[in-house]
Amino acid sequence: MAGQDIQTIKIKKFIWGSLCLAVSFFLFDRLLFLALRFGATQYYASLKVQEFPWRKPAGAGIGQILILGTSRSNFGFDDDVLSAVLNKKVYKEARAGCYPQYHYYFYQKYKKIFRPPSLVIYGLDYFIFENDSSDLNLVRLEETVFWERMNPRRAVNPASPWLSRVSWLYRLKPKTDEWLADLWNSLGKPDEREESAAKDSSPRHGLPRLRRGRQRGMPREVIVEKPLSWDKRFYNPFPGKEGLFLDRLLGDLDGDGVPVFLVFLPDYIGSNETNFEQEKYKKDISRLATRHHKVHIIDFNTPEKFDLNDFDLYWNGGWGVTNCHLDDKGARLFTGQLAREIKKILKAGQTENKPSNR
Amino acid sequence: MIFLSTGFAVFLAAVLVLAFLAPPRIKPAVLLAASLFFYGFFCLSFLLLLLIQIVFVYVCARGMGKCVGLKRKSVLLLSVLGVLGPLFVLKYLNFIIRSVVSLFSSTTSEKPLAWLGLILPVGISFYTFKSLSYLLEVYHGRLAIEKNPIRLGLYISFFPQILAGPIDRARNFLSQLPSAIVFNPAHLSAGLKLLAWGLFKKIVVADQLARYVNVVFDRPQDFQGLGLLAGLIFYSFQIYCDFSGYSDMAVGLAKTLGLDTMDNFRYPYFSRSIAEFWGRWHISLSSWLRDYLFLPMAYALSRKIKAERFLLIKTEFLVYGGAMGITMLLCGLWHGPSWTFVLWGGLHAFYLITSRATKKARSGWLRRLHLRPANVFLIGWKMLTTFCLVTLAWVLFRSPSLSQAWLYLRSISFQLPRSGIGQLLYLGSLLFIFIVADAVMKSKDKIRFLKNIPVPVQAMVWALFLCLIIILAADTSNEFLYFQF
Repeated sequence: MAGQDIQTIKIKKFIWGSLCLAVSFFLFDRLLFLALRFGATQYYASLKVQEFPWRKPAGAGIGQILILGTSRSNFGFDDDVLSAVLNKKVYKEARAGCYPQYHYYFYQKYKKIFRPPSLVIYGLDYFIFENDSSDLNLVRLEETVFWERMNPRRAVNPASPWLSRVSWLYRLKPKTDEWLADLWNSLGKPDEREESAAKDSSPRHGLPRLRRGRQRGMPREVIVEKPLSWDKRFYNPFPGKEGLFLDRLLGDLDGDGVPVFLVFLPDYIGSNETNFEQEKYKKDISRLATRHHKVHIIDFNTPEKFDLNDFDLYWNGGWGVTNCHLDDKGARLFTGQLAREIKKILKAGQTENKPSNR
Repeated sequence: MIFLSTGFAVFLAAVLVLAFLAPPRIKPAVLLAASLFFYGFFCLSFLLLLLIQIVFVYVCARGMGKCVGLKRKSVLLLSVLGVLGPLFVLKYLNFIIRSVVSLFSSTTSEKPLAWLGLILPVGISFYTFKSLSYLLEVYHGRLAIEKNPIRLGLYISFFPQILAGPIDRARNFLSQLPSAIVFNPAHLSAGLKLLAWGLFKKIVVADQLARYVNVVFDRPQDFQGLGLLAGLIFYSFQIYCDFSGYSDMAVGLAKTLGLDTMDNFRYPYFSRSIAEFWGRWHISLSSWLRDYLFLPMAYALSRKIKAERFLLIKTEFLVYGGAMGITMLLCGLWHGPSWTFVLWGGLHAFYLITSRATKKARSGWLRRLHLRPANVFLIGWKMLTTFCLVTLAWVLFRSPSLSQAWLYLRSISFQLPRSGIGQLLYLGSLLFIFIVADAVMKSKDKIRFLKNIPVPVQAMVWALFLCLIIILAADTSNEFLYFQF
């Protein structure tokens, strides 16, 4: 009997403890989340006071080409070649963590400063609808975005929707991580940060443009040996996280009368076979393009258009590697071909909404 | 399915309910089914190999029970070869072929047998050593032959231990079945707390440190002076938190079911000598190597060499040195088929042998300096030197090649790094908090104040701790380091 009583007491204690744990967790979770959101908002607000770092366009000529995209576009488009062939200045806004939402807000600011460009080249990315723009990039353009993104009512952590229901902290963990990563990076490179702060406070257009081809001096990282098996990556269909912003951007460009070239950049064959749902991805883009006028699709990610097997043209990529970037040589070759094709299209006055590589 | 997933949480809850509700006779079968399901989740061919191993070990042990003398020895030899065979082929064959070919040719493929498509099954080193332990114990008559294949299968494949240990002993494990598997709130609570503590060690401390360590070891040429030294110290704690975190989780999981498993770590960085370090680091492996490799080898050697001195060296020392050298080299090789691991083991063997050789001389110096062994400064000095020696050896363990390890060591200096001080300070603070928390965890049973905290306050502290885990968990979750072994 005594043993049974002890067991009952233990069970009661356990239940009481579990209840206290659940209630405390609920309270701490909400409180800490609010504190974190406040901290993150303050942090990004402190960055917002700095002015957006506009750069001087590259090259010379009449009119301006605006290049938008991710790091693939940053590495893949050679500004000098493009400028020389098309006889226009080039402004490139392409780097890691920049996806359609960023480009949309960027374009709104850009056209106020430079007026609408002569044409827009939009470098497409397999992950265009899967990833979202980094907060650090976005808050410089649009202050309210971060607060919206940290709204616990709308967010779900894809890693575990079930746990997302229980915990606000977990629900917005990706956003918190992003903030912490920004903080971490700011701790790591004081020199660069000072440099960027100095750039930010410089007068508009007063800065030299960024050097293209940051891959210079970096070792080539292409996996050329095809393994027996490798991890493959599904395509995240439109609209995904920011696809609607691409639609809005194309609509705005349409309204401004700017021709747009949606470009599939070449990926090394290994990366193409890793990001294996290329057909779905291209179909989605094609469908999106048909909703707008003056939108051309140029597909260089096909063996007919560009050598996808020559690893000497790529800086990284391969089987199991989702990320692929052209190297200097590849970028020059690709941009030259692309510029000539764009020139041909512009000359022919093709404004139909059709893929040009048919 | 790994421990750090929602899927595993659901799996664990289901296993706990089923194991507690099942009749005592069926409990091992429920756990075996759960363990096989868990392991099969990684790859079905891995599961097949594991099942074959279980059946093979069971049959061999039964066979051993029916034989005596030379026949028994032959069965043991056959079973050891059979158990070690898959490990040898899948883990070491490429390495051996590569090493032999490189003696004659300057260009060798990294994996000469890549065409065979061999994949190293996760946890194979761990369950192979468990199987060997069982067979050797049975052979020496220290353990009764397990007649129930389900119980034996559960010992080899027990899901909390199969991926990265601890390499528990059959006697300890089997003696608890099935009576220990009952619902006990105290066990459940203690197990879950240990699980949360292991989680904190892994996803907060180890993974945060990994962010710095990975970059430093990948590109040591980009870092200078103290940045490299800090990277090395951080790696010492990363590997400790990673592996001991996993072990805590494994021990905690077993505890929730009511099973006690052996401790794998006992605050190894507080060791005062390398020998003590090996008594506190990866205890299940080091005690395995001691019992089944070092001691039998040392006995065999001492029986062979009758003279008091051999080649002017004391036989006792020669036996120790020989047995220890081979044991530590094999310990290095167990961690991976690479010369860096072998050298790491060799360096530890050198430490241990030198320590033994200089023991008398060091005691003499201490007497002359009038220093007592209990002197606080002496203890501190010993801990510091042991930590430094262990940390130095980690360079070999972490670096992908000997040249990279040398490059790393060559670049270390005491010069302040030009950038990244903020990151170093942040990680240093995290480490400090962890060491304090670890010390509290270590002595929580001794501190009366901690024992008398009311349940609601305890619950609040744990709730806050869980929230902190969610916030501080590194965004890039790394696989447990010991999974690769």
